[in-house]
Amino acid sequence: MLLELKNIFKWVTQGGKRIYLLSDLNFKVEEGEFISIMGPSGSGKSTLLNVIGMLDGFQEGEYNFLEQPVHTMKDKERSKLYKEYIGFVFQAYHLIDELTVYENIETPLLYKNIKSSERKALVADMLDRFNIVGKKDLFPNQLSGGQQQLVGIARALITKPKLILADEPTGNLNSKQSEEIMQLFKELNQEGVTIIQATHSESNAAYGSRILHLLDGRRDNT
Amino acid sequence: MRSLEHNIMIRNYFKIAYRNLLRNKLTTGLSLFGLILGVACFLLLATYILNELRYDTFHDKADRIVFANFNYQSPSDITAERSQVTPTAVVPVAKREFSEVEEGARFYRFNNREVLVGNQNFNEKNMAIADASFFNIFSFNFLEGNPEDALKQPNHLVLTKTTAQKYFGNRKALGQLVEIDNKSWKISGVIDDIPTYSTLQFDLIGAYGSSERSKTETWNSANDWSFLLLHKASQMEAVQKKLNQYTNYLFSDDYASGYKMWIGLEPITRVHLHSEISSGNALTYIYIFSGIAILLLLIACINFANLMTAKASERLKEIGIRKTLGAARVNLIFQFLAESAIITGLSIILGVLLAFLLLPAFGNVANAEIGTQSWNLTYFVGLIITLFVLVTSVAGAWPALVLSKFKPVLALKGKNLSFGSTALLRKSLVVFQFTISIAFIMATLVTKKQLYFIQHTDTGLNRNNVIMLDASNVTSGELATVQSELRKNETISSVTAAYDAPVNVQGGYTISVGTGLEDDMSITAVPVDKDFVSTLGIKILAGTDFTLSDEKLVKIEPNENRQYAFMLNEKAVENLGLTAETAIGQPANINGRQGFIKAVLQDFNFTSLHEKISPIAIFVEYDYFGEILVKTAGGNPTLTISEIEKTWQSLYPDKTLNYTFLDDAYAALYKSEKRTATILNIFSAITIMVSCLGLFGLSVFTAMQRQKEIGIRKVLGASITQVTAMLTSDFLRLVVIAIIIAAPLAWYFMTGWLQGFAFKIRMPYDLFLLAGAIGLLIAFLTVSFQAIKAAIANPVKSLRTE
Repeated sequence: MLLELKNIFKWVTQGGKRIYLLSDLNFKVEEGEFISIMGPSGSGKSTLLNVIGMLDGFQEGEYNFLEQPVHTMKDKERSKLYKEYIGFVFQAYHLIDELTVYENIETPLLYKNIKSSERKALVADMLDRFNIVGKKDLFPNQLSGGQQQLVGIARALITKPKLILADEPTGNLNSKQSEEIMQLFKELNQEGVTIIQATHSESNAAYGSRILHLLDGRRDNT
Repeated sequence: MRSLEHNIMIRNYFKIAYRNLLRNKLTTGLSLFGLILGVACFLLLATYILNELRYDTFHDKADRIVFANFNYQSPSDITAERSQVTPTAVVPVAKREFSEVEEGARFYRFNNREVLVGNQNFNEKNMAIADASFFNIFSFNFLEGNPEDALKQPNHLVLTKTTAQKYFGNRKALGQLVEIDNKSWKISGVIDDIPTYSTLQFDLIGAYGSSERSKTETWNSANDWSFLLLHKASQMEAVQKKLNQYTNYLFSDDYASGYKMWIGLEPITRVHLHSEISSGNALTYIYIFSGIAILLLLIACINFANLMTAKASERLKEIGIRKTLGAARVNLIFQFLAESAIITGLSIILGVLLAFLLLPAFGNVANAEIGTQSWNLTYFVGLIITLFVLVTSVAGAWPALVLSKFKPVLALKGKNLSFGSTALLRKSLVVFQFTISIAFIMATLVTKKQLYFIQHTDTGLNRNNVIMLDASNVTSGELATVQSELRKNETISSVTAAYDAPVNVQGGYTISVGTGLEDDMSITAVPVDKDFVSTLGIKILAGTDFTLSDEKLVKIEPNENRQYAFMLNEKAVENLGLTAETAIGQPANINGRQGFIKAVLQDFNFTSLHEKISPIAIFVEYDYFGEILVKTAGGNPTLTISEIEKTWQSLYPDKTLNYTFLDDAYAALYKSEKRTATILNIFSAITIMVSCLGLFGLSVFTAMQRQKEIGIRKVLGASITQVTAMLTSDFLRLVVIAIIIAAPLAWYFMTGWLQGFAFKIRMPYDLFLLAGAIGLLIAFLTVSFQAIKAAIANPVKSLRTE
């Protein structure tokens, strides 16, 4: 088992009242799954992804990742864990505007203290694989949205994560680009990478092996 | 109609500007605070400079008054000695002989007089006597009496307002009698207090005719300040020529044997700032102060400009909307200038207030009696208006031009435009600010080290625990009694006396050595009491100390039979072509004093460390002593002083004891250096503070602008430390560049400053590193606060898409 959420509660207090973002959520993910999280805006999709990605905490419940209890970990251990195993893909790509394609992809390696020669090899492989060698010296604003998302995915994959978390990865793309990206996710999944995506689109969700419906922070089993 | 629209437009500019400033409290606050400091410092320094520039110009006839100085050069002197005091003959001769001279007046210091008013005794340190025409030449405002005849009669006396009040309270002073030197003086006038910007300073001034010196015209000794009033300002050169002819003729014998003496003239308005004979580096100070004032103001302006442009990306949308609504570029320029004008106006108002509050304290530090009286309205209003216009445009022009330039469509999109050139300029300006700040820190540290060196280097003369009593009222005959009375005190280990303060010996003599006695050499010399050398711990290299028999030999009457014992320093012996051994026992003659060389002293500093050690001779002679030197065993100095005061009172019940510590007298030689150090200290602190305000503002904006990037990097695995390092290193790099530029600048200026000292430290490069480290540390603390805050922030927030 890759990860397990048990009775997760997350809330914010507003005007003395608790507003639940996640409420009594139980969720298991096996390695190699491709899961789509669906639900209307504000249903807690992003929050859930952030919690799984260890970017955000929660108030109650247990979270085990590779049999390790994330909820009792210190920040440092947690960040070590997600640096090692998790990659993120965002709707707005979130590339660093000041860095070239090459440098954007390289950045996670820098933070993992990978040697320069190895970095070069890894980035070159990745550029090759995504057919963007010719674009490596361009800046994000010189690329189309689809290309930017491609770079975003390449960047997420560079550290060879076990899990990719994608928050509406095609939300800003047209249908053709969208399809290409989803196809790419499918291929990655077949290679063994676990993928969890949040999406509005039924057709995108269909790429997954399993769909998790959320409503107001709860599993919607209707 | 047009002008009405115009008015509405301008009102609109200011309204919007006001709201914008209010909305951006941080930028506004930082710019404002920096500018207030900048303006206040500028005004303080400007006050000082105005005060200096108006020196002596307040006299109605200032342009026609010239000041005479006296120059003397012996054959062995490389340059002439110039002194501000002149022989008594100069003024009467000039008045008589030269048609260009309308009037003339001598001014003679009559210091340390006891003035008896009724039965009250006042010690007056600042008394003078002057010729009758003094008040015709100089414009001092008379409250009682009149300028024409106030000083005509002998023993007539004019008081300043403060002195008159001290003596007589609110009673009329005119016609009152006081007693000075056992003679009765009549008050013939009261004048307003002397302005601080006057070279002539006195608390009371008597008629020149009261003194014996008025009776003879002599060229042999020089003790008077001489002022001439010319018919026309342009005649100075003509008078100078005639004076030269006159002295050439008068001193033709001396000229023939290689001695030169002449009288120099300069306009009185130039004396304070340009003449080497006034207290000295006034002009240097003007340069230093103007430099600091302008730099500080500039640094504050840069803060404003930098913060405004840094904020640019936030305001792009506003600019875009305005442009699509039809605003021309010029409208936007005015819009931003209005913001700059509001900030400037506000900071000038508060800066003036701050300067007003700080003026007395600053006067203290700058050692100048400045006050709002220097804020002469016409100057001041002009200054403020110039300041307003300059600061508004310097601070506002660049932001206005940059921000108004953007294309509306791009601006509206709010996309990150390339701010390439703007960012570079902004960085350069930060480098400029820190270059100045760090150069100031370096200069401060170097001056501090040199002052420490001055205070602690071994000058070959032990100043510890030596109290110097003013002996100008003690006759040489009374000295023995004073000495023996003082020695009764257990805490006093020895008592001696000297003509001059041993830290600043001035007497110029000539010496000839050997049987032939033909070669004269200029030498500094000082008559002392026989215990002088032992009391001050000066090392004897060869020969022996003065003894009682030396004392007896110089007290023989008549004078011609006296036998003098001389002690020379190494330098003197070397210049005479002798060695310590061969010099002992050589016959010598100093200005007619016949004797032999008894000992050779190790070189010691007898003037300020600005000067090299030159030849000096000391000899026992009991004609006149200016100072009694009391060496104490240490312990509580106040106790010793009260003991000395008791002894003094028993000997001289009607004379006030004036004393200083020899250490203080020594320190007083470096007053202006100390002042430089203090001022540098204060202003380097303010400069770095203002620079840091700007840096802080920039760090806030950078953190804000890079919020998204920071979020991404954190998600990609960057730690808090890594993000903090990334954000701070960009700024610290600028500071490092500033250090690299500041070092040679500081080196250049401080080498020049140290050049003024014959005895100086080696350029302390380690202090440059220290200054750099200080600058770096302060900058780091300034930016790291924001950087850490940005690094800690949860990336989930900054990356939220909706």
